[in-house]
Amino acid sequence: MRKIMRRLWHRLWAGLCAVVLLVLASVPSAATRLPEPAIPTTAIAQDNQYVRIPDWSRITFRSLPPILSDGAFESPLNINQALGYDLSRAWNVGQAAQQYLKLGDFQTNLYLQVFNLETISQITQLDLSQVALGAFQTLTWQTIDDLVTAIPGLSNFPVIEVPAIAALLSDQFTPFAEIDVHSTIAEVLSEFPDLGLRSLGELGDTLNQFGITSIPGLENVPLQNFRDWGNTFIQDIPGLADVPFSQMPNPVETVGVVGVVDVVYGTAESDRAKTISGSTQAGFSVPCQTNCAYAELTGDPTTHGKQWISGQYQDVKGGFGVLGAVNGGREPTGRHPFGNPFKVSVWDVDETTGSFSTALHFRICYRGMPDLGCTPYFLGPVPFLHHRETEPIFLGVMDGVGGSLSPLSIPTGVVDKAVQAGIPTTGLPTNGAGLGGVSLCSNGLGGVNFDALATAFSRIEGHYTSAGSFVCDGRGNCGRDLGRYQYMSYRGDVRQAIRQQAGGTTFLSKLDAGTPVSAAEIERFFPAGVQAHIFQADQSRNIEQAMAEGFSGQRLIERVGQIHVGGPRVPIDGDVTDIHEQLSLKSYGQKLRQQYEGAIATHSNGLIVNGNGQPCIGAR
Amino acid sequence: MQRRFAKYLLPIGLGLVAISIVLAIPRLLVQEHEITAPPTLLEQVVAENFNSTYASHVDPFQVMKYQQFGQSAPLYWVDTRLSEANGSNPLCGISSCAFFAYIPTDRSYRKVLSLYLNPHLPPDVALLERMEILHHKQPVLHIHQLEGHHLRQFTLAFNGQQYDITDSQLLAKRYD
Repeated sequence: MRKIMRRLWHRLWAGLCAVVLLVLASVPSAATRLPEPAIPTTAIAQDNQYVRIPDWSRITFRSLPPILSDGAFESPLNINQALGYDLSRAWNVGQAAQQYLKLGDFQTNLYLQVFNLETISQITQLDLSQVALGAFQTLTWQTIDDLVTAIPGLSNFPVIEVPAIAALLSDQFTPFAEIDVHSTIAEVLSEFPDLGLRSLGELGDTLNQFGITSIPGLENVPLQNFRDWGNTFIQDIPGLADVPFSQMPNPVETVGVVGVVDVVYGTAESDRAKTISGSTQAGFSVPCQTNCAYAELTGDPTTHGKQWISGQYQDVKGGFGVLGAVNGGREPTGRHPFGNPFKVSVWDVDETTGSFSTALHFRICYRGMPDLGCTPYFLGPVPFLHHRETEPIFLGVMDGVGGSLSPLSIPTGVVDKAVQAGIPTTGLPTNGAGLGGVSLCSNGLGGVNFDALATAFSRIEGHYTSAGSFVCDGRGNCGRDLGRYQYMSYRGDVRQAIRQQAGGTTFLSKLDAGTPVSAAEIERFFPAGVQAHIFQADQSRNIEQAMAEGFSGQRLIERVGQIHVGGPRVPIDGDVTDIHEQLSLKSYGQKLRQQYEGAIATHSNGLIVNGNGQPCIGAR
Repeated sequence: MQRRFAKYLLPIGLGLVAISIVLAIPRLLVQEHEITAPPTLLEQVVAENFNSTYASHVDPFQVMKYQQFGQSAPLYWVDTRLSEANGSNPLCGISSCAFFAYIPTDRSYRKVLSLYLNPHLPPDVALLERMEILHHKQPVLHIHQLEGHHLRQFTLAFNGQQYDITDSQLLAKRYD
């Protein structure tokens, strides 16, 4: 009897436990209310604890979760006219990242433009011979002239050996020109220059009849060789959406400190000042006044007691340049633990379960010439990792730039990849510095700050971003002034720099012939970093001379200005004026000194820009 | 026979002389050519307009001499760019170069114009255009400068002491 009772009791107890477990299992947990998306993760050990971090070797643009909000950016007409295409963008809930992000958005961080199709195909094991030309959308707005400029040696091929061009020049598309398809492309363009303006997009669906490999050399040239490459959606570069972030030209890395999630608070909190969240523009300790949902951290002294405020409830100043005003110049507060390609924000916060989600936001950029800067990070939210109380969390570098590791110079790895891709080092767009380009964010001879000097000159002379009229100097030198410093294209150092670019010789021929050139071509063949390099070399000579003449301090700047505008043998404080009789050499020097001092004062506020038009303080 | 022709010799001779005078008039009225500048003018230009460290190096500049009928003295137009510049020109800055005009006086030369001008102009446009009109017995000058994609034409006239800008017009034609 006792045995029977015990067995019954055990059965009852087991049943009770099962019911309790079932009931517990049916209680909605934070995990079900805030489902973590399928982000591949890995773990790293730090201070005897394992930290869950994104596994960037398995994360691609395609594998990122869909965006959770609609949005749009309408580009002003004058900007579109300056660029030659519509910079506007719209995105819808559920779209994948590769559908709304473009190459240009990552010009100064991931450096996607350094890739060529061959490298991408190797990483993604894509058979390019099976990919139609139409899948490489950048091609649709390339003219034959553009292709010949972008792909060295292409013009030497007979037309008949480049089927897409042969089709474009066939009777169907070019009925009035009698083309000998056995002539080289160069010969045909020489005879019928107007045909160079025909674009591959005119072929329509016919473009899909040809493979990527049908254009000799197409797969080997860097993406940045193509006109308006930055306007290409990620999905329109074959294979690019499947390249892991760890294999980008400048890979996303995970370097920084780890904190521990201590307590999660909801929106009832207010007045929080010990934050580690914000933006590049506002800094990464932006206080919160109201609706301060946040995660409080613990750990070592750098993280203990710090608050990471939710970007869902607090926005901060973001963006820079012309595009910086988009979205009211605001973006969700957050950090950059993985660099500047995107921003990470604390998002949904659940006090009851002590957990929170994070979200990514992207931005729209147009760098180079004209340098329109970047919008705030407002393309999002894209769901990302979830965290819980007592769990370690990766925060990035606690360096005052939100964990961003983006250096002012081009990372060495990018340079190596560029060299492998056949890009001359001077052809790399710089992030303020780099090979072939230099950062102006530094002091040179005589303690002169080059970026302040460049800013001072710009304030007097005006801002220039493109090419001037075709002119000659009456001594047989003809060309155009190019870029920010209006350097004439016939200058030896300018020509040398351009010649080093792929297709640079052809571009020089255009300049010499007086053929119109676009701002995009100048950006490609005479990048801002290279201009800055020449500017610095010029000014170093001027400073050296002024110092040799005994100048220093403020007078050094005045004298440098006189030499800059008047030539190396200009008399000190000369009175010769320009024809408008507005500035003598002496008064030009004085004005330059005033502007320089103003620029230095601005510098202390982080508003000074370098040769690329980027602020010198604060990483981008 | 000889007599019959002899009576025509005088008128024919006079006619030939007249024709030759007429043909020679343009040369007498307008003299505009590059010259090897008088050494004293070169020295003066360097002394007055160059940093003193340059005084010992006198390189050949381009000097144009303008002389026309009714002009009180020749006008020397000095383009400070060196004839054979291996590098930078001594008085050329980032976009403009120094140009001067001198007229001779009893013992030396008087500077009547000194300007920094941008010599970069569309291929078919001259920097300096000398007019046949005289003002205070010196030619009126037109100087062209690019402003954006358009030319601005400055008119300069001599006031007895120096050249002044008397007019400026932005021309309609666009240069790309």
